[in-house]
Amino acid sequence: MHSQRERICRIRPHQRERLAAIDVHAETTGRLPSLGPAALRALTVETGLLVAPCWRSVCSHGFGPTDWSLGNEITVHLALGRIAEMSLTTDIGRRIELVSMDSHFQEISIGLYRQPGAQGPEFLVHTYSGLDGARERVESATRTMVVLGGMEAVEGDSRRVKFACNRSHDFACRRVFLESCKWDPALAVEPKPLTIFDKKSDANVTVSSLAGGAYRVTGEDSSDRGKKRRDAIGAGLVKLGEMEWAEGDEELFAFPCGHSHDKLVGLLLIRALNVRGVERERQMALARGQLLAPSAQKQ
Amino acid sequence: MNGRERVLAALRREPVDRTPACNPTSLATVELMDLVNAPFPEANRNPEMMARLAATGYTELGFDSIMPVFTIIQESSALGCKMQWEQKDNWPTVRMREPIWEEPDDIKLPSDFLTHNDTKCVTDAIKILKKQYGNEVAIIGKTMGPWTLGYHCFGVEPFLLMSLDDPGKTKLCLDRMKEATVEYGTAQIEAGADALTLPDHATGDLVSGEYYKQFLLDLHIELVERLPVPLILHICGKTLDRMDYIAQSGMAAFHYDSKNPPSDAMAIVKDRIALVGNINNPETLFAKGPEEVRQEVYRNLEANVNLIGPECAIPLQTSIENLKEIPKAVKEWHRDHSTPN
Repeated sequence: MHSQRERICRIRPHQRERLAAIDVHAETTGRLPSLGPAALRALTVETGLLVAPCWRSVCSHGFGPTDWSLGNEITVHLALGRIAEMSLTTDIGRRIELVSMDSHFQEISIGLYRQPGAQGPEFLVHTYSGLDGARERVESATRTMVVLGGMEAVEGDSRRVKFACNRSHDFACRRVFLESCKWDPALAVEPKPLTIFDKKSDANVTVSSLAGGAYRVTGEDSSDRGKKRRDAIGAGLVKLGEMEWAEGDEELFAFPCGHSHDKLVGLLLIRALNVRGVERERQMALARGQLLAPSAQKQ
Repeated sequence: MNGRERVLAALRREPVDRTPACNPTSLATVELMDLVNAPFPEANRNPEMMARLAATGYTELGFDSIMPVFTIIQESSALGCKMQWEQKDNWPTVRMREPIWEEPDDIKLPSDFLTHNDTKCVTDAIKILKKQYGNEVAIIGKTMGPWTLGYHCFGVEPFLLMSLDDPGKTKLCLDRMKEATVEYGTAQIEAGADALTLPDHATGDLVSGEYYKQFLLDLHIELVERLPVPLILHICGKTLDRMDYIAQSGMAAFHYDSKNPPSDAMAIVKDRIALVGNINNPETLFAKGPEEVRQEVYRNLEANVNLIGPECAIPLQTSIENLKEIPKAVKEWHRDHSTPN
């Protein structure tokens, strides 16, 4: 059997189309040698292929830092299959949110993807990064979503969650994802309570969970100002949770699924105090990463 | 036809087996940076990273071209402009508030212009890509036109005011700055570029169509004569008012913005120049989904636009599935309309 190094050296660009036919070692699970930057540079020269010094595996463009490289092991069959189709990315659903630079792990990008599940929409937390620890970071953020957002882990996949009601609640789920990625993984995570101190009314505000997924904001401040604040906070929750106002009761609102989502509401309550701040944050995120013509740039 | 043959034929406005999916500007995204461990800003300054990230446009997204020059600032950095390199999720920019030139006599190409790290990075990346993909996919370089260099080196406002106050001096400046365009473009051609994008931001918001004719048309004709590969002119914004002039420039193609309806643009250029574009970036590729991307691709194909791609460098947060949809939609449209283009 050829060593991994020999095998890679034998793969040249003009051979890529034939790779699908390579079967001698295709189902062999090999262990990659530990190569430093100098060895990787030498491999680049030797093979004429791009060899990535920072990747966890020895790789040309076709050997990518995806799941199989974890633990420094490589399933050659999978790797060759991907070379043959010349793509490391697969259809993982519709991305509905993105953290461009994770402040808690190597500035990797983490995406939230919605996929159809057996009973309803499921959400995959995914990074394309192959850095050591990236997968663990994504799993940690997923666990945080379960705690903070009251979501359920999907059995058999540590990076996939769903709501118990099997509805999508996309907008709220995006908020859960963003808050979970912000959460310092070194800290213990607990669900947020349904009571919060509101600085503007200088009083506690509580969201009461009622039957049928309905909620009402109540508070200690019985003045007009307090009522206006409660109305504003209720409106914020309706917006952030894509909830609906009840007919005949201007203070009652509910999730369209008819189920209660108390942990989710507790999380949204923090942001419902300042929805404009959420919108500002969103606008800033949208503006980043857009290349402007020099004439349109702020100088 | 392979991707390279397809793109080059389309740039010559010759028959193709299908319309190429072509990116004259960047396809880099933060997720693709992760995929190949080549994040900004390093991927703009390290040739291996630049090549690796650029290659994903072909290997992952399925475009018929590879474009490694993600930014519009590489040569400005080499000219001595002050730079803000930013982070992974934002574009490097020139600090145009701190211009380096005021008068025509200030314009000098540094002796290390082509060996400066930020220009050499591009030529080295092109060499890597040419070696690895050069027979199968079009490698497109980029050299900034003199109008854009004027913004970068003189500052936007001073440069525009100069063009109003002293057109002759402005033309002299443009004439001298174009040498940077030619030198850098030539270096990329020698490194293996099959075609060059030539952004020259005489954009619709600040500069009229007549301005284009007055200051740039003759210069662009000269650049076509001096750079012996197909040139793809890129100007953002509404440009219908100058497309007739652009079509007379001899450029192989015009990379046009979604603010210009494809059928209107095609009616103006009348087969005198190929059009590339014009999938909207901020509203469609960035904020909508594959279905909307597909509709815009189809709109261009139905107007007989020669090469299909995003209107400009895509936002760094664009989703991979939206980008993959462009070549996918092109292929499926041709499958459903089986007569060759």
